[in-house]
Amino acid sequence: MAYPFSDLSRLLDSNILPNSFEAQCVQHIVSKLCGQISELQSQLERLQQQMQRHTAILSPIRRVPPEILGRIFAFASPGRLDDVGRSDLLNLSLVCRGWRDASLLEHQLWSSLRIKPSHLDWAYGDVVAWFRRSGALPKAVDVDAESWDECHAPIVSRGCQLVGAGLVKLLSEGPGIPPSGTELLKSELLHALVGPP
Amino acid sequence: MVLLLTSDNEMFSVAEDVIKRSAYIKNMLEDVGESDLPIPLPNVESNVLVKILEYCEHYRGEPLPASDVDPAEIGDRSLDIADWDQKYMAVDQEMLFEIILAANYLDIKSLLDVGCKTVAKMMKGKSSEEIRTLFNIANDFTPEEEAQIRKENAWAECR
Repeated sequence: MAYPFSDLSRLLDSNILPNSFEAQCVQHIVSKLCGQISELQSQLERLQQQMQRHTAILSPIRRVPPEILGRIFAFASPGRLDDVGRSDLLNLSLVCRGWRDASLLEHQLWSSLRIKPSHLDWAYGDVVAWFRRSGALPKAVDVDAESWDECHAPIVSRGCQLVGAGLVKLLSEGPGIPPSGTELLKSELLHALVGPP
Repeated sequence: MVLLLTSDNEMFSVAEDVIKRSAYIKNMLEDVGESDLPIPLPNVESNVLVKILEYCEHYRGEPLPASDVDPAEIGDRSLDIADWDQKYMAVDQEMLFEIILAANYLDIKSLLDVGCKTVAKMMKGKSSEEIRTLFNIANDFTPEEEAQIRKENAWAECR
């Protein structure tokens, strides 16, 4: 909608109330300016994205070699990895391909787990695959005894017999877990499963 | 005194007991013996060397760490950083990584570990996307690759 010329300068520099025609003119100008601002904002966002992509090329972290990245990851994911530790490690390894490769080169990251007995039931193959990423390093696994308590009398209940079978399989056939690397918070559970020491 | 020549051709004269925290320089001094020639540091710029020397000066006279910390020995207190080290590392990202790279090149293990811990702390508890944004890293996985890795490791995040 075209508006005839209207001199608004007397309104801009004063507090005079506009008449209805002038108010319409002002509304028109405001919406036109809004459109221009929105267009400029989109352009600004596009330019900022472009700048960010180009800045990333110079990012100093690109020069950090995989062995140092691996060391950083080791500090970020220390000890026996429970669900939170594993989640942190996965987040690191999903940042980019370079970080994924660096995490796989640091075998230590994948050598030590704290799991629930049920993991050995429904995710046995995944646990073994996780440990395989640690190459020839000794493995260590904590089986969370609190979870054994959740299904108390683990040896007699049918569900926990299956879990026990998973642990026995991991210990006997898994990727190189020495007995000394296996710690149960309640060692009697292990004895009950695989016999006395 | 030991003369050091940075990549931007600045000469530094440093007390031997200060710079000997660098295993690289220490070994070089032991191998070469007394010399008036500067040791070239083609991978270290002067502004970074100033920062490195500040660290070496602070720990002057303190015993050198016995050996490298084995990642296997990194325990639950892995992210503990001394107060002075935290303040020392309160620098922009560019300088933080320059310090890490220089500490690695000069073989100053304790400084390298402080740098690595600082970065590890910055990333702790963050999602992959948040880490990418933090360090300006491009996601070069295809959506299929990313989905596959997540699928393979879905069990790991289950409580």
